[in-house]
Amino acid sequence: MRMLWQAVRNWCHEILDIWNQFWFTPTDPAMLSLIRILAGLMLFYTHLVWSFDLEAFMGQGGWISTDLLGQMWNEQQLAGERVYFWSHLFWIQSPVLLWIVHIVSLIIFAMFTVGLFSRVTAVLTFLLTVSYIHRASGALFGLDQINAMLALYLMIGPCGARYSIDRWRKRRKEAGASKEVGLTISGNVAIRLIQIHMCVIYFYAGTRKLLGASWWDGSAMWLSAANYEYQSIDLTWLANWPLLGIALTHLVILFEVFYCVLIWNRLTRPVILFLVIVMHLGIASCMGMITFGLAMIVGNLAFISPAIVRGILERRGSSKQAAALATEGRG
Amino acid sequence: MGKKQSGKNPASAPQSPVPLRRSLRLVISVVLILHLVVVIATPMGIVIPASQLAREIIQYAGPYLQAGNVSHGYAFFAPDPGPGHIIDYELSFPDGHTEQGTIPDLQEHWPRLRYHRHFMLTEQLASLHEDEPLRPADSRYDPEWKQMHDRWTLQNRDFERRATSYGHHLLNTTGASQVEMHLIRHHQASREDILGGGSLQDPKLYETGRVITVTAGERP
Repeated sequence: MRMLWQAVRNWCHEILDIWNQFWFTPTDPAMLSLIRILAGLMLFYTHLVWSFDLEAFMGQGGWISTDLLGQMWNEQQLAGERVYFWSHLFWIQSPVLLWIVHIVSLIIFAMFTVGLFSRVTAVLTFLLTVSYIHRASGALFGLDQINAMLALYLMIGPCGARYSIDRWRKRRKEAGASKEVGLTISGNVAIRLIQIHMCVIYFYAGTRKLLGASWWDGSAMWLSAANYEYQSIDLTWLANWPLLGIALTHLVILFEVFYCVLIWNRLTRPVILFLVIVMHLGIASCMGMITFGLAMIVGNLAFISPAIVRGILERRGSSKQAAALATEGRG
Repeated sequence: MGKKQSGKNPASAPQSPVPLRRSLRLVISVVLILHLVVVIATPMGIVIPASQLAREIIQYAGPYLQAGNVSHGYAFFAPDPGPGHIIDYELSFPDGHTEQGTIPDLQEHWPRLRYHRHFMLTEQLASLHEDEPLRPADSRYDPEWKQMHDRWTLQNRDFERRATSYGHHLLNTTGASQVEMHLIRHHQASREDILGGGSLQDPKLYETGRVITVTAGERP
């Protein structure tokens, strides 16, 4: 009995050690900083494109008017549901003020991207992203979900610690100070959260597809390719290759359902990341969702070691660093 | 970068932070677990049929989930890739002339993200459009039908309000006095259609659904 008790205790200690190692091992913020730049560019572009139809999507009398949106939220509350949506854009009545606020928002997104006052602009970027999303109800899609997810987690870690104006200013101010950036626990927590959230996204994307017959009989790829409103490249040649369409359908399901397992394994991770790039560039170029495809690729960068980022961006690449993807495991 | 550095190799001398106190690690761990429970439960609580447990979690986590836009259903092209939807509209002006337009319009809505935003307007409107559930012989003894019908009534009300809001937006931005909008379902061509020489834009693939007319001065 005592031996059993000891075995259970050892197992608990081991679990605790793994948990602590997973979440609380300090890491280099290089990858988080790179994700800041790429996600920042995507956020800036996403909001820049709102400028084409700013009043139509964000104004009081837009496609979905603020009156209607407020009415729908009120009715949800009256029906006993709790509603906690919010948006600063909801309260702006003047088109001039709307434009001023929008331009200030774009400046904040740009400051975040280049890493200027990044701790503050990261929080503002997250709040602005959510605020625009809540106002633009009815015109949203997967891109907005990934944008908000990345903005949320970038806010947690020191995303401006490298490749930023903040870093450049700090080094100028402290002349002669070490060029090295400290390892951080918060940076690791942010990266871990992006990794786990990506697993959740792919898992549910896959399992929800399993509710549809076309993902089982293999016709889903054809049905996607034959949707004229989505397509940006003519894929009707797939009609001549039915088995290819079916194979691609099955591959998408297998990839999405098993991503959450295979991405953690050092040997399968490079294969999964290769498939990520192929699949999302395919969606980007064929289904007209360039922004969504790129945002998903940015989220997947969280699985690449900071050593590789530094090797590439700081031109100190070595065969060791190039091999780090396979050898330096996360989790 | 890195040429001024003297002494130790910078790559080998990163500064590690002071380890966190056990109590702080415990607090952070609890927060992380709660956050991940919300992230994982949300897609299970949104899908139909939904998990009752996940719905309870969503209910309790409502302020955090909604205000922070924390998690979603992630149903990309699920359960099946469906047809596309567009709105063809005709604006009538006080002087008698008319103008036609389409939402989304590939020629007008550039760049692609802008097109996609307009496409989502029609897709999300169409997602609210369903045929009224058929009334059984005696609906008084069919609670399932009543539940479906209540849901349809609410959904149909949302559909009409959204469509009317689109109409008022078109009237306000163009100065037209009336707009007639046709919600059109664009079915996918089958493989056999394409192999037989058809195209994705074959007229037989376009099915006109609801027609909504909005007149200037009507209450939105």
